[in-house]
Amino acid sequence: VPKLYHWEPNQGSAAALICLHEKGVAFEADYVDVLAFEQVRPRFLAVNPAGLVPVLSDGDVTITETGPLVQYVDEAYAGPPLTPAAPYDRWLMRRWLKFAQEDFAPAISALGWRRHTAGRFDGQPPAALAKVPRPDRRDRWARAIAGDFDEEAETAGRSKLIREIGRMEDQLAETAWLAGETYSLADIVIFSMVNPVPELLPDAMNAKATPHVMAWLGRMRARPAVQKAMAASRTNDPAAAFAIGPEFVRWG
Amino acid sequence: MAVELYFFQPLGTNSGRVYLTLLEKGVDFVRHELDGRAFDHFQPDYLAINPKGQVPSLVHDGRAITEGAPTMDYIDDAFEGPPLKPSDPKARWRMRCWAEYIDQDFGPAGMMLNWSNVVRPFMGERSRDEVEALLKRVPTDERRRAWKRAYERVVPEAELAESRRRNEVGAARMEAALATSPWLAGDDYSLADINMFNFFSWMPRFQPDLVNAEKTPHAMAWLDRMEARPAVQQMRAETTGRRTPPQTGAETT
Repeated sequence: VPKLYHWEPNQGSAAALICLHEKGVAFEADYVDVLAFEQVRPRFLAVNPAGLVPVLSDGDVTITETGPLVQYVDEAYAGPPLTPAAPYDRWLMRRWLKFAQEDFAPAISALGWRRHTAGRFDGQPPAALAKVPRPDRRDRWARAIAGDFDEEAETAGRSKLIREIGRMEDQLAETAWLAGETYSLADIVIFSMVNPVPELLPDAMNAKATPHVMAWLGRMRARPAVQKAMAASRTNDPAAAFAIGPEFVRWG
Repeated sequence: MAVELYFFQPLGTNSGRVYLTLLEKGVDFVRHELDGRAFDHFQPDYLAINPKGQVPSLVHDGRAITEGAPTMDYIDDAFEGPPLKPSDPKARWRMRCWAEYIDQDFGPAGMMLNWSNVVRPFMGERSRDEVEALLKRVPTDERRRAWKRAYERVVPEAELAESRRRNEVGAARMEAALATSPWLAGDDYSLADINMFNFFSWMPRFQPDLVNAEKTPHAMAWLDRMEARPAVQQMRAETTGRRTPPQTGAETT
């Protein structure tokens, strides 16, 4: 059976877990504690030299990158389809997957880090940091631990996030799910990103400002696959688990 | 139903990848050229199609399809013609990883270098008033910030160095992939090749120390195979600027 390496069911790890449960794929799970830097131990780097979760080890291939990973699971396994049939709805879905990575993940990670993670390191970088494979990522960890944030980038990122939340509200006022009338990978991946947002950015996501988004969040949280995914948490507070996210798109 | 494409002429990376996908698929489309240097993409008519003021936009059945890689996927899904996605899920996964890599890493790195080489001098010729007026028309905060940084010349050397490093990693990554299979996703020509071609074809000329016959022979041979394709030749014949980096840098993914 395939093996999923994941951290707390938040962001990419949540997306991979929910997707596998929705498809009904039998899999083995291996918990990697990212704030304990288990992702840069030799045992894990042998699986993914990039030192990132989630990773699906499936026979002779190692599947990385959240968006491509969930699409792989949908295409490689039997089970209910998680991609709509109509080309326009498929385009909507893929646009959400792209925005999840480019707009949602960096901004939400920055908010989550400040709220939940910043206090954990006392400004002291752990020795394991030196093993983070990519120099730019290592540098971003070091700066975040030192409390050195790019305020301008975070502000611009937050404004993009708020714009995208508005787009979610518009879409969900029209259709039941983000890519139209069919539940899809867009719902899974965007839910995995925004699940903590009512708490992190309450002004932008609440029952008054975004009623359709809040109702959709409720439907998502009630899904058995989502509840199974959340049960993989070891902290009992997966929405508080934040490491360094993908970088804000550097240009353009 | 009519298919229309709004794209930059000279053709940039993002316009090029969608344009080439339409040609490979054999789609008949109406061509609407935008002039990036005249800021056509910030005119109200165009913003009505794409409120973010980004290029290209495909209009099909009266609906605007935007964002580079998702538009390419849409073209493959919506039209008859040769399939541009492999059938094997593992090969499809590789194809999608190239799209992610281009949008998040290789593309922005090239864009940053291009802005500092091309757009910055171009903006520098403009008066402060002209630039202020332009910035007011940019529809999104992040684009306004990019234009402002280009005008004020505030891209730190460390960031440019990081972009050059990513170019170097990209050249090595291309060579490694093409040493093991003829096309980027494996045995089949796919959207990954169309996508990367538009970001990589200028490398032998502008980064000759990174991409050349000795250092990256497989990537060079792939570029030759790409150039020989009828769709690429048609794109070359119909457009200008594909042998150089994008002229305005005003496109985004």
